[in-house]
Amino acid sequence: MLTDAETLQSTPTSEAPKFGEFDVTRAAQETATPANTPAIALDPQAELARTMNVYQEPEVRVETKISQEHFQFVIHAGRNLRAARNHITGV
Amino acid sequence: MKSFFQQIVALITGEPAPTAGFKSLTERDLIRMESQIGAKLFGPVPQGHRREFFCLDEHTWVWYEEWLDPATKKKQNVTTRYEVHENGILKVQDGQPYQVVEGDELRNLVTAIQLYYEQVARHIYHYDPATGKPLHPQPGTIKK
Repeated sequence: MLTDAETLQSTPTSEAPKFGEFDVTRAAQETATPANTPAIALDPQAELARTMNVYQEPEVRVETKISQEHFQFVIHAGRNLRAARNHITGV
Repeated sequence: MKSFFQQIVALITGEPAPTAGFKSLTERDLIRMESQIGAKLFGPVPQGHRREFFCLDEHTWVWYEEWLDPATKKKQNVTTRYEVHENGILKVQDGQPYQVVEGDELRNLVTAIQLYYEQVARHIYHYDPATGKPLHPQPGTIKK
C-alpha cells in the first residue's frame, strides 16, 4: 500500500498544471482564426505595388498656407510702415 | 543748403526733394521712396524695365513691372496685387482670376517682405525694425 507521499509522487506530471508554464495548446486554440472570420481587406493597388515591386512616388506637398508666424509678421510690418508714413505726413 | 534728408530723397528717387522739409512729403512720395528699395530686392532690374514693389497697407502688397515691347515698341505693364489673408496670400492680376500663392513663390514673397521691412524701416524711417526705436537720437532729445 502506498503512503500519501508516494501517491503524490506517482501522480502523472502531464496532468498537473505547473505555475508559470506556457500552455501551448491552449494559446494556439485562443489565437486561432475562426473559420468564419472574413479575410483582412487589402488595398489592391498597394498589394499590386508590393507584388510588382513598384516604387510609389511620395506625394509632393506644395505649401499654400502662410504660417501664423509669417502672417503676423507681414501684418505687423504693414501696420508699422503705415504708422511711420502717417507720422511723417501728419495724418 | 540742402538738408541731409533732402539729399537722401534726391539720391533715392532721382527727383528734387521737397524744399519745405520732411513734413511736406505725401504718402505717395513715401511709397515711391519705399518702392525704390522694394524694386531692388529681386535682383537687378532688366534694361528698359521699370519695377516697383511696395506695401500699400497691412493686407496689400503691389508689384508693378513696365517694359518696352521690342516687337511693337509699345509700353507693356503688369500690376500684381498680393492680398494677405490669414489662411493664405492671393495674387490678383489684371484680367486674371485670383490665384493662391504657393510653394517657392510664397516663400520668396514672404522673404521679400521681410527684407523690405528691414531696409525701409532703417533707411527711410530710421528706426530699428526689431525694437521700433529710432536709430539716431532725435534732434532736441536729451540723452538719459
